[in-house]
Amino acid sequence: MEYLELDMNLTDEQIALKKAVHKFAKEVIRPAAIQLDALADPGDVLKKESIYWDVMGQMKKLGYHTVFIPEHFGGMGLSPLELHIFWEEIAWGSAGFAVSLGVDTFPSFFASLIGEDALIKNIVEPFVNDTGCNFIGCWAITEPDHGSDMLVAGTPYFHDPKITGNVRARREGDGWVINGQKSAWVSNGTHATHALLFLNIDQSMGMAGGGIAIIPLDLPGISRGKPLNKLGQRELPQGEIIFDNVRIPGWCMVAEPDTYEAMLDMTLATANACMGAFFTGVARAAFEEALTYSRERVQGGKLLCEHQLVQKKLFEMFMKVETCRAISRKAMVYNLSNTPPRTEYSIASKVYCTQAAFEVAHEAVQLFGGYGVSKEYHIEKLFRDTRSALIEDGSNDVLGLAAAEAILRNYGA
Amino acid sequence: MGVFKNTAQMYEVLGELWTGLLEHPESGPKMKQAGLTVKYNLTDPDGTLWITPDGVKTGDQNFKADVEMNLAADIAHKFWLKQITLPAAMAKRLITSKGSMDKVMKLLPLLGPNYENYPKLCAKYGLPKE
Repeated sequence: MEYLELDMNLTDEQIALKKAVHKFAKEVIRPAAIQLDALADPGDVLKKESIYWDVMGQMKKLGYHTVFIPEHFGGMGLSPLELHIFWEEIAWGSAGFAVSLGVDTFPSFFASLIGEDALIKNIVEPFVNDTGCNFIGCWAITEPDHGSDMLVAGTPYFHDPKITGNVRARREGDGWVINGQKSAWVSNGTHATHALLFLNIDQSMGMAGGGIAIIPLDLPGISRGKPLNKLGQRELPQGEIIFDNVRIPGWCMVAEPDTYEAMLDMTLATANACMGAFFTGVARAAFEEALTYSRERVQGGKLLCEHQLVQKKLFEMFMKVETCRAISRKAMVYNLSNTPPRTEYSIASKVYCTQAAFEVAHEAVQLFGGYGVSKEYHIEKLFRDTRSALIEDGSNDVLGLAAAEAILRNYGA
Repeated sequence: MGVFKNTAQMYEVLGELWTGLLEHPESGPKMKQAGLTVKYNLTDPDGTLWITPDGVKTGDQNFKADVEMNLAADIAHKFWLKQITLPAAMAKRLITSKGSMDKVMKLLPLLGPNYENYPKLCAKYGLPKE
């Protein structure tokens, strides 16, 4: 089912990209996600014979893991608009696979931005050249005592020395020693080979005294928790990472307290912009499920879509999907084209799109009637996936407060 | 007092630096092939430097920039002396940019000769290296 593209300036290459990624999402990603979602034990998602590895492997062979990496490092180097098109289609197939592939790129994307030789040689090149799931990244930020509060730079409590992170690094010789625990919501935390690790260096500065390290996860002292058993996006493996006197070389620490808060803000601006694109795709998937079903299901002697109440609901769902795409494309293009980013726009995109996707999925379940809560229909999975998204990548409530601080600071200033 | 005496000296030093890169046997052809126009809006002293595939231009020009960078002249000086990295300068808001990051990143691997040549230019024009 193809939607009307309102951007009349898309190039032939961009249209071809959309079609190719959509075909892959439809034929490969979505069926695999449905299969993995049905597994009772989340640990089975990562078993050797699991289809998870097949899908991730296919994406690596296609180069999809390199969409953020510039061409001269061997990546696809997509433009901000192309990134939006790409992520909407991937997430149309599965929110969980979109997040898994998204965080997979994080360590290498960051390394390519820094551009130092050791990072290119040890991180970017092996990642770009990986076609067999031998290099998988994660974004390790969430902690047992901290969730959304770790994300919101610029808020007053961020500088309170009484509030500091669970994972801490101290300098030792030319390198660093890391101790502490990341919580079970680290996407790909169960199986990633490398992490973009956010940690605390200077406790006297509170959360603002942080640092960012890009590290391999096979170092002595690193252990993992069990895969998280959860409501939605069950095809996405998530789990704890524990650090016990883990030693890393100096080149791994790519940001220290002097730049941490701004780097965190730039990271959030990118991550939330991606979430907006993801859940535009999921909202669209839910809407299309409802539209298709309404054209087939007869109630009260006529098709559902012939009932005026249903028509009005379909229109409202359609409107939300189009609004999602409008805001999330603009936010992604602006914030990946300007430094510093205006993070409040990425947050607006994330909060709006995830909320809209949840509402569209909710309405779609209602339209399906009893079948909507049956495992037989895809809409039941989409509903669970969208519920998770209201908390994922920062809870919408806390993100809204952080955006409000930025709006008060920036709007009209 | 900034590193550069005035705008004319800044144009002379940075112009020579970029012209050298565009004429470099390895980086030069790749710079031209990238086809990007980068506009540097510099302050203290104020000036505008354009790096185009056809050469270096200064002041107001009728070009369309693919990437625009805003920074103080002293930060440009520190950057070429490797005293500050691009991500750190961006994080500290010492450099702001407009234009997609992938375009900025395209140029980074080609800048090696500038890092080699800038200390020599500092010696030639009597600019501090610390």
